[in-house]
Amino acid sequence: MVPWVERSLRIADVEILLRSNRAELLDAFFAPLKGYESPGAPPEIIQQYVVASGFRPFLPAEREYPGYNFRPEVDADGKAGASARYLFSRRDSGGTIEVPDAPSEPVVGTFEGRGARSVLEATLRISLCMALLRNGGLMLHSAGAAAASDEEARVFTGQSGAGKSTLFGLLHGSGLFRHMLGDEMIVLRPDPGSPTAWRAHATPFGGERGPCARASAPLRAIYFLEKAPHHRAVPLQGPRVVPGILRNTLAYVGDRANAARALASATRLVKDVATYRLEFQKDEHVVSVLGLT
Amino acid sequence: MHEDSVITYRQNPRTAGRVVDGLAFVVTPDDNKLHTLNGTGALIWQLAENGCTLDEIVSAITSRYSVEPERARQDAETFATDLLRRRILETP
Repeated sequence: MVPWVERSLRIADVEILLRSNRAELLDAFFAPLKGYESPGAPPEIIQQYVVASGFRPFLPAEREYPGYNFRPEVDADGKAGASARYLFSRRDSGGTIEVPDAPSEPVVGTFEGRGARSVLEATLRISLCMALLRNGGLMLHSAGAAAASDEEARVFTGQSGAGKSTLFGLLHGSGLFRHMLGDEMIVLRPDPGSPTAWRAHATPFGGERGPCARASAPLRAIYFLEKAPHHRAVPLQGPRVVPGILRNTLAYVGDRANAARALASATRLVKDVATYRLEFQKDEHVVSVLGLT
Repeated sequence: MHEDSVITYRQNPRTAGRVVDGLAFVVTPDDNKLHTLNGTGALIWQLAENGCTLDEIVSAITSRYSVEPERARQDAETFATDLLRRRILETP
């Protein structure tokens, strides 16, 4: 019998029950987080992580995915089973994710692996991705901040090296932003109460600058980062922005259902929210082209 | 009648797609790739939802664009072959 230790947290309004056989791992996970711990509520995600010292990957990192393997579980006839269940494996951890169609039923992640905070965090990202896609949201590789003037969030997306952390530092240094949402990963979710019908949420998944405190704000605009010798925000229009969003979305697809969810979220986001190409250099004047009032 | 005319092209049932303002975005989950199809490619993708032959594709191309039937057939063959190769379409 495994002596489980349980803690609850809330990321982007998603209630999560985190369960492990190692209390010290959960302590390490929660230590840098501010405001994410929850008193507990019916979970949208149940995440179970067993520290297994002798862990060996049960799926080879065989195919086109670099560094990990992810695929839907299939039955002996090669057809997907009645419930959506996915297998995940990488060098330091592995497990399954069950995703019921009904949002009222929790996504269940069952993992085992090495006892490092970063590994636990990586497995939690996978389950959160699946839960968000199921509800029309997505997790974008991006930095973000909510301006003090209009309380609305600007989100800045790009792959590694695009300048997310640099820009995050410039925005933070300007003093014009009330809530810093993160320099690595921002959750975007539909929100009928926001002017653009979307809301940006901080996550505990920080980059160079570590996790930001839990916060959220109506989403005002999305900027695709491009380093340049000047500052300029060029409006982008039309469906050709969709691939850019999907390219920067953390999404474990694997099957038609998840692919359809990711496509639906990205196309709706692009339709609802203004997008720009932000050409910027490393100085604080970048805030002058962000439409702050 | 061309030999290929009897082949029925269908969307690969493992793909997910969405058409927005004339562009078709198709995800092939087996390789986790997003394909953006415009013009003739998007037209074929839509026709293939319920299955279509090469003749039907040619007819749709000549109806939409000012192009000679022989040129439309060449384009249809080229696009259909490419979409098959990318596993966006399949044939029985």
